[in-house]
Amino acid sequence: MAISRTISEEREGAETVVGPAIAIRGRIEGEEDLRVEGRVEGSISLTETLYVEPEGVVLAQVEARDVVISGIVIGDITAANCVTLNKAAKLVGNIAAPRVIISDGASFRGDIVMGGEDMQPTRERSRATSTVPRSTVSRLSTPAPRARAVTGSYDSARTPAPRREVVTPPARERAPVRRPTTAPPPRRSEEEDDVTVVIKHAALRKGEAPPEDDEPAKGTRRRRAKKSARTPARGRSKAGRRKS
Amino acid sequence: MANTVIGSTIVVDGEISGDEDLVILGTVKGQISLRENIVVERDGVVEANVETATITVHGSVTGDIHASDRAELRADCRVVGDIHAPRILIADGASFKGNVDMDS
Repeated sequence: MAISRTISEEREGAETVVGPAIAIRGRIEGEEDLRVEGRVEGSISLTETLYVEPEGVVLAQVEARDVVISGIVIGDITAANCVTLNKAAKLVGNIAAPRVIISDGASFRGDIVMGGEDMQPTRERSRATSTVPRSTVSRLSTPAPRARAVTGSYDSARTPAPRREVVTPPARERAPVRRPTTAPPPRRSEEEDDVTVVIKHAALRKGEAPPEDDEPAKGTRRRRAKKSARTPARGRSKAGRRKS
Repeated sequence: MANTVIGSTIVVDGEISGDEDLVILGTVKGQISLRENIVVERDGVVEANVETATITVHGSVTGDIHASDRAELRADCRVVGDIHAPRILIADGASFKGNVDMDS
């Protein structure tokens, strides 16, 4: 008996099993697969895969790379890779994982967030846009959290603004900052772009009263539309501004 | 097969209870109460009070052991704590510190 057991252990090597007649209450953490055929309450944190077998019951916060559920889980699941709910699975809790598979017959109640990993890069990207040409800003800021994208662009526009009012030429000093990202337009047009931005932002700031939610979207949209309209009639818009 | 294994990289902090054999290659802290057999393998670490029918220790146990049947301390094991069991085996090479009570 003892011998057969040791052999089977060695064969199973990298797998931990919580058998059907076992209950664990507390915290389990580790760097190998865990197979639950019994009952676990508390929390589980693995770098590998958690299997909840048909007879298994898990009442726990789960963190793992993959989670494969054929039994019952009550608690939130965070997976770095994939959460699979097989036919007999029952899950009550929230799932955060880039991949979620729910088979026919599985029962599930809770929220799923699949963007977990995607969302962070998006947010960073939108933050980065503050130093990026407006055309890009407006494109990116639509999917990203608006408020953030907008505060970013305010800042970038605000810093140049005062300088611009004092002296006109220094525009070029600023231009290099933006240029690396704004490849295409010649310097002159860029200056003009800047000019218009200043106006826009001044307008936005004056009219800051309206709900912020709405304004950024409008602002970006308007700015963008303006630019396209402006590009051909560049000279005119500049002239118009100077007169006013 | 109906046996529970705590693998070598696993740490359980809490209570394990049940009616099934338990093999420990990893770490268990807290409390273990079983009505079957426990094997603490060579690299297994138990920092818990243990209640069981039989326990076989190749690794390390810190905590009191109550075995209703038998406690075996094998060579190279390290046990710190009291042992209550009707039958106790301590092999040559085992290290043990604690109180032994064989009255049942």
